Amino acid sequence: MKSFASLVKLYIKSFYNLSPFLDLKKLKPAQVLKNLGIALVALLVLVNFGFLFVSVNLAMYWGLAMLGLQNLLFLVSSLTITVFVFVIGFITALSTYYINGMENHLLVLPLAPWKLLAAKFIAVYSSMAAVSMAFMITSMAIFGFYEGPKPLFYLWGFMGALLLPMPPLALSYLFLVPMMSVAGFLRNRRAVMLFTGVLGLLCAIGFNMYFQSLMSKMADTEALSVMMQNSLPLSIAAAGAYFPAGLLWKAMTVPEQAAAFIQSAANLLLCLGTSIVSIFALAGAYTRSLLGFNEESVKRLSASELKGFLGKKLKRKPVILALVDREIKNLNREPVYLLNGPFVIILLPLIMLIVFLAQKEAFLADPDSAKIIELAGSGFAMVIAAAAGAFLGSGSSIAATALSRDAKDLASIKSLPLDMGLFMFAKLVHAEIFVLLGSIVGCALVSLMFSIGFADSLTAFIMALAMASFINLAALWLDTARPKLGWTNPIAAMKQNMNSVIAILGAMGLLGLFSVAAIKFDIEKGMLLLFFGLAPILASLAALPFYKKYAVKRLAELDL
Amino acid sequence: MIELIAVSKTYAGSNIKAVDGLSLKISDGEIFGFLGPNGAGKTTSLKILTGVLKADSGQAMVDGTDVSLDPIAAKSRIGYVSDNPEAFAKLKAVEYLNFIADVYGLDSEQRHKRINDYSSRFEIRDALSSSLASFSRGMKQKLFIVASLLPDPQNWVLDEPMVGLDPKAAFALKSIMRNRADSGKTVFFSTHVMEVAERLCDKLAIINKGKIIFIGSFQELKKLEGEDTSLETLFLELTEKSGELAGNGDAVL
Ligand SMILES: Nc1ncnc2c1ncn2[C@@H]1O[C@H](COP(=O)(O)OP(=O)(O)OP(=O)(O)O)[C@@H](O)[C@H]1O
Ligand SMILES: [Mg+2]
Repeated sequence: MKSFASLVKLYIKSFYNLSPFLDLKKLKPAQVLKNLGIALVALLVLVNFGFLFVSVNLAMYWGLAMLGLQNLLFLVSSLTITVFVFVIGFITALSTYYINGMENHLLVLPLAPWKLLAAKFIAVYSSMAAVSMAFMITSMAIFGFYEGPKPLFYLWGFMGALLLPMPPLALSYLFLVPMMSVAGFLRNRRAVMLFTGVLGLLCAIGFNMYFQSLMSKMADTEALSVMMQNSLPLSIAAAGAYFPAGLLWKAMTVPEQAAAFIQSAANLLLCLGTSIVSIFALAGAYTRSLLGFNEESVKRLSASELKGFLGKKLKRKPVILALVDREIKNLNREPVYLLNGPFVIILLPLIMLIVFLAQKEAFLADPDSAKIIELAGSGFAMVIAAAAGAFLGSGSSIAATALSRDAKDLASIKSLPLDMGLFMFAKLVHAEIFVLLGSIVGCALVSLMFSIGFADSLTAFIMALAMASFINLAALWLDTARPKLGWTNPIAAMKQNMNSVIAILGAMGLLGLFSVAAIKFDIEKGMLLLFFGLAPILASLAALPFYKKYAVKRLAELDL
Repeated sequence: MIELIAVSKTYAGSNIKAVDGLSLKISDGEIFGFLGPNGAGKTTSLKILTGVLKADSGQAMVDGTDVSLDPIAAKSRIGYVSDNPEAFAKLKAVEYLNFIADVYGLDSEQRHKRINDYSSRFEIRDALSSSLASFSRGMKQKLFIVASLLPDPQNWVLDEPMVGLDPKAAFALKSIMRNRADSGKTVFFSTHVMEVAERLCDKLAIINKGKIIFIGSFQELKKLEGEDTSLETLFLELTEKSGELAGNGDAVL
């Protein structure tokens, strides 16, 4: 049992990269600062989700209260939790099915298969439970505020929130284990990452649509209740078919009756039972499916094919092109980098577009909007287009993680007769490619939304390019100054890299300031171009030689 | 020609000197073996020589050029096989070799010829179209050796090059080393394989705790210790002795 506990601890640590938080005593001031930064970002995300949860719950409550059916709130919210948790749980279970070679080490140890699966189950469950609890607490708080239910109501709610994620997660593994056992081509980190990435994207869009459509009706209780009423038969049918949600709802409706105790106990047995039974049933197959994960496909070429292949590949290139080419390959061949980097340029506009389409009617109906649309003609839309383009352009995290991502190659690179200034310049060029792409996408999208003319779009595009390039250089400088080099999992270099978080937040701040300044002071087009087009470009160009000098010195000093 | 002059290095965040006032000189035409227990400072010294690490004090010279003053000129005279098998894992073998050839500015004909020659010799030509991630440890080692030979460097620096090599590849490596030295080039390598060092090296340095405890030929070592025995025995005695002496900081030179 001791081995099981430490296995759970190991998984949880590697899931959340907790180690810096765990031994607070040993931290140096710089690390404390860094952790405060992380905590701040976490808080931002939390507030964001909190806002979302509160709005959704309020919308549901108001809609139901209009019909006098507020007791159904917990039916709807349990079902929402179940669906939400199932989707997130499925993706998390899939993306953590095989953690970067960790399983290879664990499989060697004399551990019972059920321990491996159960430990992973618990680690995934812990984040599901947190989401479920947060949602349930908001539901209970809103219901509690309006209806003042009995104390036992809260007990059943808390218990239900902990139990609800279990069956969906068990179901996820019931899908995943056979799938991984049968489909050999999926037993590969690259395939898994791509699959989860696409799935995640689709779900993000789906949830966004649902939440947006709920929230766009926030102001209109009638519409909310119509929407609720339309979906009620489905909810009730779902609760009849899906016992945990139904049982929880019933227990919370009559919290002090004996039935509530029986229903909650039944729920406990049901949820725990399915989890335990699934874990034991699947453990053997799960462990077997881990064997041979991450095999590379190797095709040997025939002698003549090889000759042609070498002839094609062995071509001389200028060094700078060789370096840029290497940067592009290194990034594109790591799905984690691809999904959290350049993919953002596609993902963000998609979400923006959905938000816009969902809110469009409400937006157009709002009398204030008329003023905004009127403003759009007078340069306001152009500023927004420039800000959106610049944000997308600088949002790929390529510059902010450029050196960190290269940790494994850096020692070998340093031994080559390469100008390190050129080496870092290649990273900048790589990032600039996506600055260009992001600026085009962002400007084009906003220009289409507000039907901006070509001249204004072009102006916006130039400003976007200039500002994004400036932000990019700053981000690269940041990652040169404090690269994250001691990682074992590429996620740490990209997703969990403070530099990319700082760069994105910094870009948001700067571009926010820009938009406010440009709109508030009603700066005319020529001046805008001068201040936010020419000036950032000149500043970047002027800074470039200083950056180069700094980078060469910094790289020479790095202990590798 | 390679020269380290009173080189010292303490890693950031460490309080022990990984390399402590180390000096050695390797002339053209020499095979020079670098021996010492684990953690003695071999890799650190080689990294300083190849510009991967910056020394706290002292100089590293390659054919008369100081690595820290003119790194590009110095490094273009070195071919280096590092001890890190993780590098360049995302590239295909041929892409990696082509990258190295681009960095050293080889024309298309040279790179074709050398890649074909050396990869056939080490029997990895068939695997050149595969990704490095699919390579075994020994295959990677062979590839890194091939890459280090592409610029036909005057100075060949290898960190434990025998690791993972099969007997045929090890033999090929040793004969390339000999041939290069005979044609007036410098070979500098670290190893834990005493038999290889004993038979192959013109000169040896034994290092312990960052300091040189012996420098000279195998014959000289035997004379100094007054014993006609294997390098293995002498190495064990010497490192043992210097470990005891380390307390008063003297090196046996
Ligand atoms: N990146 C590093 N950070 C801190 N200390 C290091 C680092 N690399 C090596 N050291 C320390 O420097 C000393 C010398 O290490 P080095 O790698 O040079 O030894 P070595 O002679 O190559 O050993 P081996 O035979 O095991 O390869 C050791 O004490 C080691 O702990
Ligand atoms: Mg070493």
